[in-house]
Amino acid sequence: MLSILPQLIASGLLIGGVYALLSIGLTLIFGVLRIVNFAQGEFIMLAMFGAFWANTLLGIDPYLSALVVVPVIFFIGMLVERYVIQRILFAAHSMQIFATFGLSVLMQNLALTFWGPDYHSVTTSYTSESFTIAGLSLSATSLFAFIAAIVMAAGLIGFLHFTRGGRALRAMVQNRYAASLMGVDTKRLNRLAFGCGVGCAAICGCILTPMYYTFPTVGVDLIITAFVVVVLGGMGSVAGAVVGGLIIGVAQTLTGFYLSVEFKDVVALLLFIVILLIRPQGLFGRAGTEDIGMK
Amino acid sequence: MNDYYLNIIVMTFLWAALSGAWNLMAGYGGLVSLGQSAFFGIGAYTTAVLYATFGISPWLGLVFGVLLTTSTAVLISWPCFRLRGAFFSLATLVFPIVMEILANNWNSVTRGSSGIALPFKPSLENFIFESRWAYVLASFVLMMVVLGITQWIHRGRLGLYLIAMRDDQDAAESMGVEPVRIKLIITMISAALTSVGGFFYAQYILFLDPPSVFSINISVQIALFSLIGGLGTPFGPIVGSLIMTPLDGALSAFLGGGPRLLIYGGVLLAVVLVAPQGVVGTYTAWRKK
Repeated sequence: MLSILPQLIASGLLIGGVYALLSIGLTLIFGVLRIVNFAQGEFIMLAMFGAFWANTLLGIDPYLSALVVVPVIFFIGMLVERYVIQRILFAAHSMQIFATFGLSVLMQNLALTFWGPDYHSVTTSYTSESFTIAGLSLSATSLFAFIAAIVMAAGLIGFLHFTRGGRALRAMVQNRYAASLMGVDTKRLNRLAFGCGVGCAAICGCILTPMYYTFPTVGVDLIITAFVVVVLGGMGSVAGAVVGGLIIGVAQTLTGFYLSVEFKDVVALLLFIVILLIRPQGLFGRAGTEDIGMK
Repeated sequence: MNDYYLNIIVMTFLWAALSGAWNLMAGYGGLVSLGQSAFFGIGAYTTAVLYATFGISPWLGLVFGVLLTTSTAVLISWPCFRLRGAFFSLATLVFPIVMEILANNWNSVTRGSSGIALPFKPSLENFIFESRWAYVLASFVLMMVVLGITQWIHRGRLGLYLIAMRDDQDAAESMGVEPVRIKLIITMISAALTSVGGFFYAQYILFLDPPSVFSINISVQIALFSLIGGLGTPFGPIVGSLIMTPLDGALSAFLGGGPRLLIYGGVLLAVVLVAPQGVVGTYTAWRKK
């Protein structure tokens, strides 16, 4: 039972990479706009369908299709920000929840109406391939997702800390009014941040397509995990999303193996509640974050 | 009147009652729970299991269901009261998911995913009736009870505490309102009423399986009706249900499941963006002008 432990941890870390990938966009949007985007999972679903159709109709590799899918969804995200998010930015928190929740129900059922409830899968030459490194077997698609998550997180952290735009963004998070007095175009930054957050969801969707089923309600399955990860890591923290994702991934793999598969999800949800109770701001969040967004 | 229309009337009253119970927490207290279906499902399952498996009268099941739901509600929401705003909603979203996993896997009691069918033996003692008119009456009474409790809270001290806490918890606390106590009271009332709704559902539909009572769609529908009618008003949930339940019946007859929820999502978004005060709130504001 114990000899398999290194393999379990390795697989857990790879799954954790996928979870991190799910959560980075969500945490970015919360960090900047102070809005919990309940529709984030649906943007991932949209990207998965984009990659799926590109593969089925045109024979394009799902990873390659990201070059088209991501800009399209980025643009859709900007439109959503313009017509929905901007209007509720300073509304009561219940309205913010309902707006993004309504968006999620709407997108899910648009997909259901036009594309039907069927599960689709994309098979590529590397779908079932795996590498053996130091006696550990690592699946190619998970490894790629893991690497993508790390690169994406590093890129975002680099952008936030070392570029002019990133500094403006952080200034706006600290004090929206003061930042606008210093000449920061807060409206433009909001739109950009939401577009980027949703764009991260699109990248995630393209990477998930070869390893997961594509169906209209896939977002619901994914978003719950993403919430758990983001709350664990700290809402608004990109590094937190990565660490949180890895922890959940390992915890789930271990309980799945040593206890039972049914309890895999229960453990993650219990961890979620426990974290909310002991440290509501999460591992990397600043104290008080959980109060914000309530006006 | 044929059964199809009577069914829509029963559902209208039942949804008004469930939505009204949610409105107490969310509309007055600002506790936007997305997990009401957990309370609904526990109420439904308790009576169903006791009646179908052990032959215990649903009336006793009702009492047990309410007690079990209320104590579960206290146990799981108490810790969550530390969370505010969207974080509270996130935490409540988890309850029905855990309950559904539990109901699916606890085969010896809940019969897992195959569900529980309640034997149809009409009598007052079993709370099962031949005529749908009896259900119309019962659901109407339930709706009026919820309305009465809401009116009582709305006019009384508790309502003021709740609204003060919803609008600014820190200020309310400094004026001597005890947030945890108030939140606990309103959650217990809301959970108990939702549980009675679950009991009614089980006795009316006579079949339960985990997704039919713990589904997230139930929580969405409950919230949507209050929102359309007017959040934080006694009549809001009733107005919302009067508009939406018959519409929903007509839509599902013509369109089927997918497009129906499509319209739900669209309506939810439209209400938030165009008339966040709902029908009752907008009407009141218009009359005051």
